[in-house]
Order: sequence, then structure tokens, then C-alpha cells
Amino acid sequence: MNNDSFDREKIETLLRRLPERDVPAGLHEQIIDNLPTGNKPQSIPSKLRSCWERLTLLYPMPIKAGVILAMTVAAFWLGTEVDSEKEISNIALIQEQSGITTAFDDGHSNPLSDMSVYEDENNHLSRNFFYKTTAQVEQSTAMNRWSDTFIRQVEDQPRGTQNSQGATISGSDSILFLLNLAHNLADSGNYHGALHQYEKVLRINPQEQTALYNRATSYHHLNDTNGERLAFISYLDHFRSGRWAYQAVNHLQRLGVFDYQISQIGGRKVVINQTVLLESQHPARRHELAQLATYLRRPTAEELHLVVFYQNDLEKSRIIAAELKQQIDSILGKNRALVIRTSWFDEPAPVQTAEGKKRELEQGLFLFTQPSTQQRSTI
Amino acid sequence: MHRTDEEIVTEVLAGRKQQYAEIVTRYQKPVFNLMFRYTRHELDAADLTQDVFFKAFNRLSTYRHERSLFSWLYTLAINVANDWSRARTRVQTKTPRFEELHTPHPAIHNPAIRLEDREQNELLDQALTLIPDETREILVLRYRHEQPIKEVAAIFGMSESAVKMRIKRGLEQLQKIMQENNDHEQ
Repeated sequence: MNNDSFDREKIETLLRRLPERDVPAGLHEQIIDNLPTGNKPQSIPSKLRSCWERLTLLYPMPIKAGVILAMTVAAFWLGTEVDSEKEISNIALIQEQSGITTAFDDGHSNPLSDMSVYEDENNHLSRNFFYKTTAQVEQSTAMNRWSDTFIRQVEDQPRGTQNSQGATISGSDSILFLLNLAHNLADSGNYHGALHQYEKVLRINPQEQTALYNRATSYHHLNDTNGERLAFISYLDHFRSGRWAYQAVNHLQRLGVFDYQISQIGGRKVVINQTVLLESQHPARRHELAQLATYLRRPTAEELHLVVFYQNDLEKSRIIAAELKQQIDSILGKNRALVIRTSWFDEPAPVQTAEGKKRELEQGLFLFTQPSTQQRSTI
Repeated sequence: MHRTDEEIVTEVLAGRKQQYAEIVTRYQKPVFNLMFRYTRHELDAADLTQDVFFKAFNRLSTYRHERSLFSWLYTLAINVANDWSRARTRVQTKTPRFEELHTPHPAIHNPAIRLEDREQNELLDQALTLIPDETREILVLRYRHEQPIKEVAAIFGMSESAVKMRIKRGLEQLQKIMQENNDHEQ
């Protein structure tokens, strides 16, 4: 590194020469191919919408200022509400300490039911959220115990159960609580603790996206590659599209797992499990194809290109391509006129990782769609 | 024959939509790079670039020729990028920190950049990730895209003096960060 200092002029020069990335190959075609076709007359709602969009484009600052003002007022109002609830719970605490019996309709101590304010005919008695728990546990383990109590209550509680005042203890509240706790633990470097909390979230909702993904990242920080691999695979079992799915594929490739590939299907990138699709007898193949079919049914895809690679076995690659074509056809049915074009090679499949490393796989499958020739010519 | 942006827009609005490809060709690179600076991820940046051009296509009738097309498109792109940032904060309350490790550095892939420039560019690129998004984009627009202060102010909905102040502060921030990183590496 040179010893020159960075004066303003030098930084300005560097900024003028700031290197730019090349646009990914095919992006231009992708944009043009997926543009809406035809001159559709604008409906009244869409005219109103575009008018609104125009306003927001021209005057973003007043709108932003309005929204910020509204949010500030809302935050202030919420603050006053929380303060008044605290006061009520303090009164309840004093009343309980002086021997006044608190009225619970279920007759046992339920920390979750403390979330709401109880009223009987004569008194306004209330308890603070988790008051009992906090009074009993030591400060150092309080958070973990809270979350344990929380999850136990949510698990024990039948869906939609309500307390005496009709307040439902929703799973989403508990998930939010546990996720925040997990994030805070991760922030402080306690990945074991974070992992534990993400697992709890997944016990409530096995498809919770953030927990599924961050569980894998927690394993990564703990250098548990096996856990990380399984967690990313689990994420892909639930989510096959979107940024985190693509990232999961990249991470799996870094871990040496090349089962998953990102395919361009219609206007979207979709993750496919090529290993499952390439095995004729794989029990999950039908399910994998059914998932793929949901994207193929969308009207943007008109031609599906299906390319099979099987090193040194041309006949096998041809058979697999034919099988997949036939199965996709049968899943889509006659109502969806999708042209499937197959190709097969007896060569290894070339792949490139997110880090730019090139590799060759003994077998591989490339899937991508293109608008039909007719559709392309209308643009 | 070189056609102006305005001529192409007029043709697209007249129904010759294939002309829109020319607009995409002209501006896809700055838009993609803008999105990459926000997302630090190639696939996301490509998706957002696609979004910008779809939106621009649908709203082309709202474009007024008093402004340059680049400036109009860039405003739209900044809004899309900000929406993405907000949505990301809302949905993914915590971005795993190690995600950043796998993003290749742009300078490394450009053989035209000389070695000493590459080191300085790496420092600059690093520093640009550490200053606020808006300040960074103002600097890029002003210096990399050589936009006049007036245009930059119009894109960000600021006064010209506010833009000048942001540029001054942005350069100071970059200077401080780059100096610190440089000293640290020596």
C-alpha cells in the first residue's frame, strides 16, 4: 500500500474512475422479453394509481414528512398507553403484596394470561406481563426462562384459546418475542443461545423464514458445517425463490453441495433440486416437479428448455430428458400449452459458484424458460 | 444515426415498443451498479434493475422532456432501491453478517485497473459501504456520472445547497475512513 494520504482531490479522482460492474449476461434480454405486451387501455383504478405514483415521484418529501409525523404521533400515543398500563400493574403488585387475592378465572398461575388486564365487578386488578416469572427467576437467566415459559404456554394452548377477557395469545406475538431475543443473543455473540431460540420459533412455526435462515447462519458462526448444511437444505425445503433462497444455494455450494441450482423460470429465478430430478426412482421427484410446475403455469413462460448432462452416458442423459419432459407434460395437463425443448449431453455439467469458481459435475440439469418466438416478436 | 432519449421515448409511446430496448441498453449499467451498491448481491441487483425498467416502461407517459431521461430513470431507481432497503429491514430483521463474505470485489475483475489503483479503489469501495446510502449515491452521481448539482438535487428532492453540503461531508467522511484503513493496513 502506498504512503500517500488521501486528500480531497485524490478522492474526487478515484470517484470519477470508480469501476463499474458489467451487467450480468442476459439481463437485457430478460428485461425486454418480460415487458408487458399490447396497448391495454388504462382502467379508472389504474389511472388513479398512476396519478398517485406521479405525485409521490414529484413530491416525495412532503409525503415522507407526513408519514414521519404520523408515526411520531403514533409512537407518542403508544408511549402514553404503555405508561398507563405500567401504573395499573404497579397498583396490582401492591394489592397482591398486601394480601388481596387476584381473580383468575382458570384458577392457576398463568404468566401468559397476565398479558391482559383483569376486571371483576368491584376492582380493577391487573398484572404486568410476565410479572410472576420475573419475580421468581434470577436476572441472569430471566430471558431464557421467559422464552421457555412462553413457548410452553403457546404449545399447550389450543389454537384460538382465549382468556377470560377474550384476549387471544397469538403465536405471532410469541414468535416476534423469540426472534428478537434470538437476534439480540446473536448480536452479543451468543450463537448457541440464538440457535436455541430459533429452534423454539420453529417449534411454533416450522416454516418461519427468518428463523429457518438464521438457524443456518448461527451454525455457520459456530463452525458446525454439518448443521449449517442441513439447516440451509431445510430452508430450501420451504423456500425456493427470493434472495435468501439464492444465498442458501451459494452457501451450500461453498460447503460442497451442488444438489441445488438456480433456474430462470418465467420472470423469476427458482431453485431446483437437480439431484432429485435426475434420479428416475427418487421418491421426491414427483413433488419436486409439482413445485416446479407452479412456476411453469404462470403465463410468462412459453418455452421450457431442459438440458441434461450425464458424463460418458449419452443414452442415460437422453432417457432422463425424455422422462422429465413427459412427467412435466403430465403434471401441467392439456390446459397449459408449454413447449418443452430437450437437449442431452454425455459431458460433465459446467457450473460456476457465486464466488466465480468453475466446476464440473458428473451429472447436471439446466432448466430455463424463454418467451415463445411469437411472443418475443411482439416487442 | 444517433437518436436522443426524447426521440426514443416518443417512439415507444407511439407504440413502437421495441425501441425501449435502446433505453435499456443505454442505462442498464448505471442502474445495475446502483442496485449492486445497495444490495451487494448480483442476483438481487439484477432483479431490482429489471423492476426499475418495468416500472419505467409502465410510467413512461409521465416522463416530461424538461428533465433528462437519465435523471428521471435514476429517481425511479433510487426509489426502488430505498423501497428494497426498507422492506429488507422490515422482513429480515437481522441480516446475517457473514453474507458479505461471498461478494466478489468489482475491482478484482477489471483487468484494466492498474495494481496501485486497485488498492486505492478497494479502499474507496470499502469506504463507500460505510457512509449513508444517500450520501454515497450523491457522490457517485456527481463524480462518476458527472451530473450537475441541479440534477442531483432534483433526483434526491433536495436544495442545491443541501447537495453541496452532503458532497462536502461525504468527501470528508471518505477521506477519514480511507486514511484510517490505509494506516491500519500499513
